[in-house]
Amino acid sequence: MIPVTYYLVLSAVLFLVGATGVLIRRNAIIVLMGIELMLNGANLSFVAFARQFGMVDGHIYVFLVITVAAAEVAIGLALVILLFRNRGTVNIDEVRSLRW
Amino acid sequence: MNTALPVINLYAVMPQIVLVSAATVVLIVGLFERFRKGIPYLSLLLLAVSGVVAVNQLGLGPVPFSDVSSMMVMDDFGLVATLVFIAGAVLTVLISISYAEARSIDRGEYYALLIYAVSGMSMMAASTDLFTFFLGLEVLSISLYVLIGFEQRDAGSNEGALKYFLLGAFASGFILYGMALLYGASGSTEYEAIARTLGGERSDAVNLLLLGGLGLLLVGIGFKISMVPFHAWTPDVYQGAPTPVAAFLSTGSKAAAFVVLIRLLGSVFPGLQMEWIPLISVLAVLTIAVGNVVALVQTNLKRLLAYSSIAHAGYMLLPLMADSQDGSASIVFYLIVYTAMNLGAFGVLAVLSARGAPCATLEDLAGLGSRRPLLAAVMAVVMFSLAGIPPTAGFMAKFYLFSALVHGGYVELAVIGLLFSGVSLYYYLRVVVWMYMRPAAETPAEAAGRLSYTGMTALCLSALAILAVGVFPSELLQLAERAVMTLP
Repeated sequence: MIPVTYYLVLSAVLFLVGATGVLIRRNAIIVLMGIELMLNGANLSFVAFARQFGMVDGHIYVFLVITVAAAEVAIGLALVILLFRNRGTVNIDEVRSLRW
Repeated sequence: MNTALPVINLYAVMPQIVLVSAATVVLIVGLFERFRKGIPYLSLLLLAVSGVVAVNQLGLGPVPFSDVSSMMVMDDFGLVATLVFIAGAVLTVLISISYAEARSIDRGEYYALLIYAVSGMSMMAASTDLFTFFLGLEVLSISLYVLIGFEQRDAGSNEGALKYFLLGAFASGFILYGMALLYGASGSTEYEAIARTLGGERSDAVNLLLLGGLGLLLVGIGFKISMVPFHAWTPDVYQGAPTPVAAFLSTGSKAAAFVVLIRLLGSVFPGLQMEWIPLISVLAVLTIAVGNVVALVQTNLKRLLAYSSIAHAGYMLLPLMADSQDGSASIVFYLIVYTAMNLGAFGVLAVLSARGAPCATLEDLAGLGSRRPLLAAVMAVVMFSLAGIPPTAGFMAKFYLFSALVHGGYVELAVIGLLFSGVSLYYYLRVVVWMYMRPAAETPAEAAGRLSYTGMTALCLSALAILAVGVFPSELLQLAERAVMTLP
């Protein structure tokens, strides 16, 4: 059996890849993908721990998180589409009209 | 095999159930074009009903949601917080009516989302488990993402919404990963279980998971309360959002995050003192400093209020260190007063912006004292209160906050806080100076004619409340003390 540490390391890597993506990519859609990766990294940890403890609550949390993430992506994509209609770009570096 | 079904106590989550149903009713009624004008009044009615439900449950003591796990609890702390959120939403609806009509965003969804956001905050306030906190936070955040971007054709609103969304979802990722680590350390996401693990013998691995998890959680919550260094989104989002939504955002969502912080720290604090105190004192002082200093140079009023709200979040972080009933009560008192003050300040801008061009800068306020005496008086009261000048509620709030801090033995932090509070006098009073001592521009930004009655009612109510609490603070203080008594 694969020890639980492997899953935890993988989930940490997924989380970090996602966070890096959010910080360095400038395309709003790729940033969204990075956020999804972060959430899924956390999901993997939940499942791994729940499996280790032999409890179901971690698995249930994952289902709820998937639902939340779906709602979040729906809103996020809608906002990106609105941005594209208003500005003709999805590059978040070009979206900086709010300054003093 | 004998499996007993858990006893579910629906009564314990009645305020949340009523709020979610209210929002759904508003959403459905909002589909019918002919009820368009009535929607805000229906929202007010339903919010009042939820308020009555919450008031009726006050004092009934802690009632857990279910007997097998304590995901949510009904206690005075959560109920008082819910009442504050409902009051904030009522004022927001009142100042929204004319603003939303003028910008044709007066659709049913606007008010429905506002009530959904309140239900999310109420869930956060009642949660005793990280997972219910997360769900409440997401209900709140997703409603706010839409509300901020509600002016679809306005590029600023769009940009603010996208910034808040990207950073908010990023912060949610941190919170969720922190929760996963805490779950791994303690085998549960309940606050009490985490506190038990913190208090017990900790192996190195568990220690790493616990501190990592709590650190990530702090990053996520720090984003929500705009704590430095996670504050950069605040001015942009407040500036871009529709003004009533900015008012709601700066009071409600921040208050909800603070309520969670108080409840969470109330359980986990004893096992965490060593790590927590140095970290949070540095962050709180930085938050106060950045908020107050950058606010000095702002000329856009919404950005000025954004930096002022960052500074106020810093003040409210300070008593968390004292870990005393006094400290928590002073934060609750401060939150209530802060809600009235900030809704008043943004409300003045919203009411002015409803007619003609948006009122955004200090210049737009020039001559307001002679042009609109009542509105200028409200703004002056609010500004004095934000600055903490007696006899306003803002003074009493700061007084209790800093005295709790001194009683807890953090005199030097209280002194730093007071010094920066003195700095803040400059930018708050500058608003008053512009209103009363500068002549109006040739053509004022806002058109002549009467202002919305509902908006003025809300503003006068909050100004009167600020003055009343400033003169007779004991009632409200007792309420705040009663609320924190139910905490462990």
